[in-house]
Amino acid sequence: MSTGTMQRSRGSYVDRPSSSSLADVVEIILDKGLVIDAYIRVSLVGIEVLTIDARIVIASVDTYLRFAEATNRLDLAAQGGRDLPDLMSGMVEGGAEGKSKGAVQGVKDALTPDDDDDDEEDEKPRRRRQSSKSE
Amino acid sequence: MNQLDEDYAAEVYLYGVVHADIELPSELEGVQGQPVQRVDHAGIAMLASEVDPDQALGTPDDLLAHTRVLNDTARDFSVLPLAFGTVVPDARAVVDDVLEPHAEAYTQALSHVADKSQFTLTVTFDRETLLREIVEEVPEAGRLREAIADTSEDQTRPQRIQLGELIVRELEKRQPAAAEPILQQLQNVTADVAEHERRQPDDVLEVAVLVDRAQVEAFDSTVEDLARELHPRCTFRLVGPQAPYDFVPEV
Repeated sequence: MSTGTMQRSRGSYVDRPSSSSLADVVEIILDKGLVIDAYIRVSLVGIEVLTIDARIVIASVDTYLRFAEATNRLDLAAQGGRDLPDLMSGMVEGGAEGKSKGAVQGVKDALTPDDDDDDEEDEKPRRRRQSSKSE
Repeated sequence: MNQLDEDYAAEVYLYGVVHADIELPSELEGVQGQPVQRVDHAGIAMLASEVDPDQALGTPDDLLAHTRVLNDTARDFSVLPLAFGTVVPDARAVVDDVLEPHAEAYTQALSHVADKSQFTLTVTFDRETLLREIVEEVPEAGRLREAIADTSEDQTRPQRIQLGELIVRELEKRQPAAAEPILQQLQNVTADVAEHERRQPDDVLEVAVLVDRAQVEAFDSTVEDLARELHPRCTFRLVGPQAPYDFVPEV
């Protein structure tokens, strides 16, 4: 259930989620493993197909617009003093918290495809699941 | 763990193949909350459970249960995970159609993953750091950024697409140089490596690795050192130990 012995104390720069989160299982494990030919493969129900389709790189117009907007929002002026505080907050927080939120959010997005709220996405655009049909 | 009755005549869900001589935990809960049982044959065993015909099969809970059974088993034993959703018509089919015809291949594959666990490592560029880097290093990016500043998407859509394309291109350009040293270091502490396709333009790499249980600490330190060294440009995410999903043969 958990990563057990792999758990590190605070101060680690590696994000170590539970092995069993649904997002990870869908991303990393679904469709892997030995296939026994000729036997019914029960398919996953209750998760939008686009979650599964989203496991490929999609470089669509939508992706480009998101990257452009993220670039637009960069605060270049804040750059001068960023090194020290950034380094320190990285040490305190473990440096990788945003990632897991992003991945979980991805599946949530897929589970509720109607909730196309772009403002929220801009906060953490990483790992957003994008339906190719929205191009 | 109980043996599944060989005369059991209804559908059986399959998880994975293990050596028959191991002592598995007695209380493994499988899909639909059913207890996991074993079917032994010719020195190997299938982990299996009965299927409740009145209950939906294939829910996210089932997927999690499938994974949990395999990962829990893999913590201490060699196991070949089956793809999610494999169901055979009855207990006899487990032996006659699955174990018997493939016994030799499974035994061989089990020895490939013996005493090893899988981990999956995902390394991603930190978006803000990279965007900053690109705007500073590529004049065209800075120019386009100024062109879209204080405009709406409708007003500067072409320039935005151009900027986005440029960013994606620059990320792709930086990816190999970022991934290479990581892969090289991982080679020293892993028995096998399977690279996954990258999903997003800011992914550096996603890789499944097979790690000898005796080397797990060395592997862990290597990943930790890499993450510290590459912070804040790259973020690291490590999932595992898992069953060796990426290291099963095609049988």
